[in-house]
Amino acid sequence: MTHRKLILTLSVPIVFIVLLGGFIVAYEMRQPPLDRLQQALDSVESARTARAEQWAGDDMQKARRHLGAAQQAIRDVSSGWWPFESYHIADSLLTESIRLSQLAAARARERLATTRDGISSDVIASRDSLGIWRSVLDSDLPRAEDESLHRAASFSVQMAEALLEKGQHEAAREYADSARVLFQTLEDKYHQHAASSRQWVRKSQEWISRTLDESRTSGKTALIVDKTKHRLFVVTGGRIVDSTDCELGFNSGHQKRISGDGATPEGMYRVTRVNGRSKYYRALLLNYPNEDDRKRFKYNLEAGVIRADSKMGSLIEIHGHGGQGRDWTDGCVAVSDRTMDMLVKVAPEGTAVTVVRAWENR
Amino acid sequence: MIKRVSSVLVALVVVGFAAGCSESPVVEFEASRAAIEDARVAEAEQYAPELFKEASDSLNAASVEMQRQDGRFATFRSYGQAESMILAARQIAEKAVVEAGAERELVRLADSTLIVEIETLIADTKQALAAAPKGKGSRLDLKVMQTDIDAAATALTAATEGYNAGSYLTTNEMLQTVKGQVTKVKSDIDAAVTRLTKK
Repeated sequence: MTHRKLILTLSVPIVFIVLLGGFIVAYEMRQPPLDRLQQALDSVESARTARAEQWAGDDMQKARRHLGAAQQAIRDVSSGWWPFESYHIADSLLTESIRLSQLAAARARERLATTRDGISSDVIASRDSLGIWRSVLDSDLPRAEDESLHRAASFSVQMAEALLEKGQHEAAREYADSARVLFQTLEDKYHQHAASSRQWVRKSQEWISRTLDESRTSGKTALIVDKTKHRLFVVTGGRIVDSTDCELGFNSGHQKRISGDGATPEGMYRVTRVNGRSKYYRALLLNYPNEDDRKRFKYNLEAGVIRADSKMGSLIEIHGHGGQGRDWTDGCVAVSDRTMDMLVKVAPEGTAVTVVRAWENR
Repeated sequence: MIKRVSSVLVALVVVGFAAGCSESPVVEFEASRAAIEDARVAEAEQYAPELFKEASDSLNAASVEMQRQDGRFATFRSYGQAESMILAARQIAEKAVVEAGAERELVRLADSTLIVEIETLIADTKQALAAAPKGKGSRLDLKVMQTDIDAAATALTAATEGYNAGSYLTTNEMLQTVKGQVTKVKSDIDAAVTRLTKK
């Protein structure tokens, strides 16, 4: 009896200990998905270094949310007392977090690459535009404002290229955009100029006819300067007897408006003085401004096209020191010194000098 | 006697369990997380990226270790390793804050030096341009060169805005680019002025 009682008494703690041991073993056997958790944490970190927060913010936020939820799910299961509860919800959330963070990283890289390629294409296109506009400007009479626009665009393109190389995409884009705006302005100005040019070309034909008629009638010599072709024609008895290269003002793409604008005036003039000892070898002074120039100046002044304190300018000459291969004067016509020697002989005071935008059909 | 033995056994088990229980270092973990957040605010991601990553990795590893221990039976939980990792993460994050601050100050100083250098370059270039012979043959060159100086000055103004906004690292690269461009503009203008002077 005592023996049975002893067994009965001992069996309670033994059963308790056995049950407890089984419980502990079952508890220890369940494993939170730690490898996957580490993988998810690494994926999020990797996406962060790929600047996913900046380039794929939504995906990154979702990945972080899933990771947080998974960690909470692990904690919930771990803090529960039932040893057979599984971590499958946490596992699914971690898997989704990994997928989302990998997606975020991939999207970030892709968007970064697309942005870089887009800016790069813009910069390459701008570089091409620079070349095209250089050819356009070089093939036309010089216009100082357009040259300045081209130069400013060139600066912007160079900045964009340098910044792109350093990975400063936003700043590079700003300079590429700035270059594009400058090219657009250049194009607008080019079209405006082309429209205004047409009226001066039409006038050119009228002035040439009158000059040729006068020379034919009087048998006298006249000089015709074709700005577009950079040629000076010597006409006698209405016929061209000689022609030579000439250079013009640095802003000759325009009709002259004011003093210092660098444009060579277009119109019908006369030689008012033959200067045998000019600063520029020899010179024929013209009667610029003529009546038409004065009227145009007054009109522009009243219309507010030019500033109120603008001056008309004077001292427009045909002079020597030409042959520099570019339009460099302040508005005068420059020819070679040898040509000047010839001109002072054939073009005395009173000689007609007609300066035109273009002599068509010649 | 037997009853007493079994009571002692049960009591021992209970005491053993109670003694085995240890607390998850949640408070320390949160403090470390806050330290990393401080490092982020101090722009350590940009100015001390390696330390920032090290701190983040350490905290992540600590998080995994905590979860590992949380999953164990209470008696066997031991958070010693997690606590070390959490402490390390916090210390590294604090170091990152200090280092980021120092690096930021260095970059700021470099930026301000660059700004002065570029301003001087632009002033010198303007002076060279002002001293260039003006007259026939040089007006277009001077006009176009003025465009370069204006563009350089505008670029400097844009870069200085970044400096004033505290974006020193981005501004630094921008300023270096501007300096490269202004140096090029200056050498172009110097060459052109020399050419014009010789005429």
